[in-house]
Formats: sequence, structure tokens, C-alpha cells
Amino acid sequence: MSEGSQVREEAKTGSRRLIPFNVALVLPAQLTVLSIVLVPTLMIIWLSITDWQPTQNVPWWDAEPVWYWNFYDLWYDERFTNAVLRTLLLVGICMVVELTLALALALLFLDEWPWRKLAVSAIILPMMIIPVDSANAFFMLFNDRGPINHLISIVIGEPYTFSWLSHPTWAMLPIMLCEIWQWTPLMFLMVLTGLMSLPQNQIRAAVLLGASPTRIFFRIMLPLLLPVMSVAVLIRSIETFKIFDPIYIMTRGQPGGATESISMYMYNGAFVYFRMGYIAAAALVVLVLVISICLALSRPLKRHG
Amino acid sequence: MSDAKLELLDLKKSFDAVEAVKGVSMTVHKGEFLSLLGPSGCGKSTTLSMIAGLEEATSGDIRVDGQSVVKVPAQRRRIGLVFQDYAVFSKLSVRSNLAFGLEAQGFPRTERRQRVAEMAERLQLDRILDQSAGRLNMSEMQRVALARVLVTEPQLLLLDEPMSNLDAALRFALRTELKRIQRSLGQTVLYVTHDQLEAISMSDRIAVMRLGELQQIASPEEIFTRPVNRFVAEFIGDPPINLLDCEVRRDGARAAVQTALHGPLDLGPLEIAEGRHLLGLRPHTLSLTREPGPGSAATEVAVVENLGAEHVAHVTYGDRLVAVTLPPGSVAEGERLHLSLDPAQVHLIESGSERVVAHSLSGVAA
Amino acid sequence: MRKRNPWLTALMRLAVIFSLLISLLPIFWLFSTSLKPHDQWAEWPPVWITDSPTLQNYRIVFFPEDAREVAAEQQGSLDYKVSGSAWKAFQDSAIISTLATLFSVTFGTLAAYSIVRFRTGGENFPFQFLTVRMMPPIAVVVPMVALFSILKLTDTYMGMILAYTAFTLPFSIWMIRSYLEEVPAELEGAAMIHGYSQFRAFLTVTLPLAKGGILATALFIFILNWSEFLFALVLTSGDVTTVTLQVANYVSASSGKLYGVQAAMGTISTLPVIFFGYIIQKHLVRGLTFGAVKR
Repeated sequence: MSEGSQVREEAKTGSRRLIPFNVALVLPAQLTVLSIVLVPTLMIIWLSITDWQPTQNVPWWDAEPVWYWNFYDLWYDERFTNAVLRTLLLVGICMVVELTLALALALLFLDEWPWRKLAVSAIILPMMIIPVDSANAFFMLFNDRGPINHLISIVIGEPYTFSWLSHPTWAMLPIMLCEIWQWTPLMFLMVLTGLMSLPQNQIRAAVLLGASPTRIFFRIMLPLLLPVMSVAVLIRSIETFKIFDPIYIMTRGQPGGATESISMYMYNGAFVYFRMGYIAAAALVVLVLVISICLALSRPLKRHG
Repeated sequence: MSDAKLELLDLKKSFDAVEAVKGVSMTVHKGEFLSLLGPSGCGKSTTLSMIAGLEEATSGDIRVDGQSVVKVPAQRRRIGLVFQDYAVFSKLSVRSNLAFGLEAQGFPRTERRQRVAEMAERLQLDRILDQSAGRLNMSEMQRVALARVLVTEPQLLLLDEPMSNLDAALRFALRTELKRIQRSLGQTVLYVTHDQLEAISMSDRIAVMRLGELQQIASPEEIFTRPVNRFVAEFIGDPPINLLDCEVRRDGARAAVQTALHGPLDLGPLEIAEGRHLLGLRPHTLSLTREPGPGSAATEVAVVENLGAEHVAHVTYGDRLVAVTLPPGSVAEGERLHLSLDPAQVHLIESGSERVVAHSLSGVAA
Repeated sequence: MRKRNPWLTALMRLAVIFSLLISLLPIFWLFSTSLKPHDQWAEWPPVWITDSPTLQNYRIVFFPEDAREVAAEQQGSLDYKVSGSAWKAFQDSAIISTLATLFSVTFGTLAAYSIVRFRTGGENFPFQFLTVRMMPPIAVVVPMVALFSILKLTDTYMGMILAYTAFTLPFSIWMIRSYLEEVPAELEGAAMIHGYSQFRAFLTVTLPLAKGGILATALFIFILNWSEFLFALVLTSGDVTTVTLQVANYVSASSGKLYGVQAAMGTISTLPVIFFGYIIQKHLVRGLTFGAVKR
């Protein structure tokens, strides 16, 4: 602490400048973010009250204002609300599955055993595949005449050529599996890190008091893992919420919007139907939603460092 | 009916090529407070881990109440262990910490509550029962670690250097506390420490270990007055024993030992080779006088250490210094005095084997 | 807990093997498909390991002009439509990813340094960058299209580079911040006593010590840029392309997706990510949690 203020003193006694040195250092980063992120965000506010459709050859600043009508329409837009709910459900399911799998895997990899390091490298390979490539791979896997159907055929004894990605309910499954497959390794690494830094003596003490492995796991280890797991879930939830690549590659949101996440919905609305003003309103709603959740969580976030 | 609570039979532990524990055998009696004393690396903590079941013995047997427990997993040995860092369950309340062992062993709720309440009161934890165990100070943590183990009424209580994290005042208070509880519960305790003062003040018996081997196991008084070898003689005693070079000479049927400045002491019928050996003199057994006495040596006070209740005078003896304990204010630095020893309280240490072959000698040889 | 019964161990080993199989299945399928001749792409029952492996798919990726020739060699009248060129895709991706990484890491290091040593902007300042990562990019991309059209940045390298820089800055700043925090400030103080200015001390003393972490951050951000899809999809329209876009360009009017060729492109395009990913393996967790979780 004292070194920091010492250092600041040094900076102040330096030559007088227009901008303090430390501020100048953050300027490049700050300006980039301001121009690429903040300015468009402000533009959303304008766009959201217009009905800008680029196909009509009207520049966006000249677009016809419709004031609150976009929001009114959004409220009653089933496709939009479905997309929001669907995305939240997807995030929920993926989080639960990823966390459980990650915990199970981490427990398997906790002790030393031969080839363990190699196995870890193989387990984390999915993380290092470009998302569009893994989406493509899953597209091929779940093809009507693909290996997944083949395996099912072997199990049930007769040919099974279900068209996964054309089914309104089941199409979400390959998408979720792709997401889970890709990111469970990350959760696994985080949970493993947490497990390996658990205070060993607490676990030994529990053993000596006669506790079964189950009791030790649930009453001692899990509570100690809570901070790491919270960070993992928080960060992955945010990223999963934005899901786009797998859906675009595998279904484009079809059939009939049944697999649309929020991002896919907005993409379709803006770049397929070209109703950018309307989508700007949707974007505003989503941004407000996301930022308020973040502000609400900002205090517990800071407490966890 | 033997009253042996714990028996170690030729217990050995090797880590790859390193032999940490080399064939330790001993018996701990019911209700006894026995300390495992020794410097770092002597194998005492490893021995403790094996008794608890956290480490597997390489060979040898461990018996509790006559039954071998080496094949019994740590969960079921019902042996309590207090770790050096206490390892309280930081995410649970103090109450849950105490109840943990009882819950794990299936005690019904009413009995759990009762036992926890009793033990909490006994160790003055009743006021902080609902606090989170992660926010306690050292003394509270130690009591929680102790309480949660005692509440399960273990067959044996093991403590691994539990006082090393505490300051001197706290140590003193907790020593007496621990002793009091042990007595009132009749608990058999095995206490690992490197602090000889702790061991001496608390134990019924002390087992001194060095480099994986048991050196001596006896009451504190016996270890102090009749150490079995040089290591034990040097390890126990504060200030440490003075070791002086001496020479044994045989002259026909008589043998005598002589140090640099003192007159020769009669060895009597003692079997020991001629030549150079060591003579151990405890600082408490030496005296300084103004006038010379029989067999005394001339000496000068070099340094006086003030230890509060007593002083330690370091006096010259040939080319080295010898420590003598005295009441405060008896001597001053620079004084020329005469140093006398008490032949009934000298230890003759045979060179080579390092064993103490005599704990007293008859007197000045003619 | 050390003595575990052999049944449990066997079960655990089985579980590990099963997990490994699942981890590798999609990757295996992708690679295997990339070696399949056309007639085996969508056969039933599906071909797990081809008995006649071919490099034709890779040939089409790298030499799209040979597509017709290859189509003719295959039986039946296939129309292989290949738009765009893999070479350009790799080239553009390399340019954009590298430059965007450079900007991001440079700006990020300067900002992180300012935050760590001077506490610039107070406690909450770094969190604003996290908010950038929290918004769905699609939400921002709609007005960005409008903005870029005015600034003439649509379908340009610079536009893409700026977009990538802005959206990876949160990672740079937070990751580099955690690495800089590990270098004690006293070292700069010691240099300053010898007459160095604060900034010079930073450049000559602290930076070299943190360079491992900064390099890891750079590779991490490169991976993010290389794998990015949405911005590439929306902000370009032909002049600029990326490897992620190129994979989608292997469709034919009559036979739909050219699975084999897509798989070949997919396999190759992901190799840099695998390569760099394993190099920075130890830093991945720190990166993806913005420095919150360290080994």
C-alpha cells in the first residue's frame, strides 16, 4: 500500500502535463472501448425508437421514428419472449450438467494414476477446437444418417434415422450437447484447481472422526469449493447466455424459431428480415436486463475478489 | 488383565529408500499421558500418523486394547487426533464441528446435543457455539479441535505439537487445562512435541526418539537423572548438560576418571575401556565457592545470564566454558571462584557407543 | 481413504475411459470425415473409418480451382461450389488476429499497469471492462454496422481489428493485471532510487519479469480472435474473410454441404488453436476466469 502511494507521489512531482501520466496510460484502451462499444450502445437508444430497415435505402439517422411501438410490439412478440425463456432455460440446463460433470471428472482426476497427465490433455481438447468447427462436427454427428443414429440403431436393434435437427423439440439437444461438450473441460479445470488446493488436514480430520466419503464430500469439500464453483458458474453463464455459433451452424434457429437463442433471434431479425430498428429495441431490452443483473451481482462478485 | 491401552510392536515405516521409523516398540498404559519427544525428523509425527491410520506401516503391529488395528481403516479406529494446525472445519459452525464426529457415527440427536453442550462448557466454548469456525483465534481453534475429538470419547487421544502456534502465556494456560481435562476424563494421551519443557511438565512418561529410533522411555525424573545415552542427556535439561572431555586410567585393580581441572574420581568396579570419554555435569549439580574445596578447580566467571528466577553463570574451564545455575545475584562477571562438582550426580558417557555407563561415582580417588 | 476397493478403482478407470471417448469422438469424426471420399460422406450405415482414405478434400481446400476436376473424378455429376479461397481466409485471419492481438495486449498492458500501480479510476474502473464481456455481441453489432457504414469501416481489416481489440481488452486488462500484481512494486522503487523514471523502471524491470504471463495472454487472445465468428459474419461482405467463415463456403447446389471438404477445412483451421492452446495450457484457467482463479 505504501509503495503505491510513494509511486504516485513520484508521478506527481514529475513535469506538469496536460493529462496525468497514469490517465494517459489507460487512454488507448478506454478510447477503443468507448468508440466501439459505448458509441454503438448509445446509438441503440436512437435506433430502438425507429423502424430502420436498411433495405428501404433510408440512412439510419433519417429513419422514421416509431417511438414506443417497437417496445410494445416486443412485449407481445412471442418469438422474442420464447427466445429469452429458451436461452435462460438453456443456460440453466447447461450449467447444471457442466458443473456436475466437471465435479465428477475432477474427483476422478484428483489422485495420481498412470497416464493421468496425458488423460487431462485429452479431456481438455474440446476446449481448443474452434466453436464453429465443433458445431460442424456435431452437425455431422447428429445427421439423419450419422454416427449417433448409428449407435442408437445398434442398441435398439433396428435402423434409427431420426432427424434431430429438424425436430422442433429435439433440435435443442444436439445444440446443448455441443455447448456442454465444448465447455465442460473448462469447468473441469477450474474445479480440479479448487479441489487440489483444499486444506488436506480438514479432510483427514473428518476421516478420523469416522465420516464416510459421502459425508466428507458434501459437508466438508463442497462448502470449501463453493467460491471456485461460483466463479466458474458465473462466468460460464454469461458466456452461455450469448450462445450463437452452434445454433447458426446447426439450425439457424429453425424449425420455425424453435431453436432460437436471444442472439440467434436478433441475428435473424436484423440480418435476415432486416428489421434493425426493431431489433435495436430488443437489444436495448437485453442490455438493460444483463446490466441490471450484473449490477445486482457486483457486490458479491467483489467480495470473491 | 493388562492395562496396556496402546502397544507398538517393532513398528517400521519406510518412504522409498528412507527409513523414517526403525522398529519402535512401546506400551502406553490406560489413562497415561505419554509424550513422544524428539527433534524434527525423528519420526514422531510419522509414528503418530501410523497409529491414527493416516499412514500405512511398512511392518510391525499396532494394538489397541489388545486388538491389532493395522488392518482397520482410519475411519473406524476411533482414535482422536488433534492436528498441528487444528484443521477446524472452517465452513461449519463451532457447534457443527463438535457434533460432526457424533453425526458421522450415528448418534441420535438428543445425545449429540447433550454431549456437545457438556463438552462446550468444559472447554469454555459455550459462548461461541454458533460462530463460524473459520473466524476463531488460535486458542479457540485449539479448543474446538480438542473438543470435537473428545466428544466422541475416543479410545486414544493423539496430539501433534498442538502448542507450537501459541505464545508462551497461552501455552502455559493450555498445558494445565489439557492436563486437567485428561485427568478428569481418564483419557489416554499420546502427545508429540519437540519442546522438552512441555514434555517434562505434562507427561507421566516420556518416549525420546531420534532418527526413527526410540532412545528411552521413562518418567520425566528418570529421564532427567538417569539418561540412557548422550543424546537423551543432551536433549533434556535446560540449560543443557555440560559435557567435558575426561580420561579413564587403570592402575592395577583401580580405575579413575579425570577431567582437566578436577581431581580423579574413583570408578570402582565399572567396566569401561581406558582412554578418552565424556563426563556429563548438569548445571544444577555444580557449585561455585569463594574458597577452594576438596577436588575443586579454579575458575573465572565469564558471562552471567539472567533468566529471571535463576541465573546461569558461564565459567572458564580450561579452554571452554561451563554453565552453572545459581540463585540471582550470587556472583558477578569477572569474579575468580572455585568450581566443585557432586560425584553422586555425574554421568559418564562411553565414547563410541555414547551410552551413559554410570550416573554417579563414589568420590574422589585417593 | 488410501485403501480403495478394486471394484471402485475399476469403475473409476472405466469412467475415465468413457469420458476420453466422448471428448475425442467429435474430433475424431471431423478428422475421419476429412479423409473420406465423396461417396462415403453421408452413407448409411455411416463409415467410421474409411477404407479408402483420400486427400482430395484437402486438395479442394487449398486448390479450389481443382474442384471441378475432382468433381469429375468422382462418380456422378457433382457440382462442387467453392466460393472464396482458403488461402485468403488463412491470410486474412492471420492479419486480423495478429494485429488485433497486438493492439489488445499493448493497450491492455498500459492500462493494467496504470491500474495496478496507480489505482487509476478507483476501485470500480476495471469492472467496466467486464461489462463489455457481459453484453451479447449481437446486441452491439447492429448499431456497429450503422457506425461502421459512416466510418467506412465495413468490410475492412481495420474495422475487424478494432472490433476484436475492443472485445478482447477485458481479457487483456484483467489477465495482465493479475500477472503484474505478482511482481512486487519494490523492484521498481529500487530502480527509481538509481535514477530511473517510474515508467522506465516498469519497462526495464517489471515487464521482463511479467513477460511470461503477458505472452500467455497474447496467445490466449490470439486464440479468441482466430475462433471468432459473429463479428466476422456481420462486419464483412467478401473483401475480408476469416477461416471461421470459409468453412461455411463449401456447399453445392445439388448435394448440400460438402462434408468432407468442410471437415478438412475445419481440421486445418483449428490446428493453430490446438497448438497455442497446449502451449498456454497452464494459463487457460486464469485467462478464462479473468484472473480470478490461479493455479
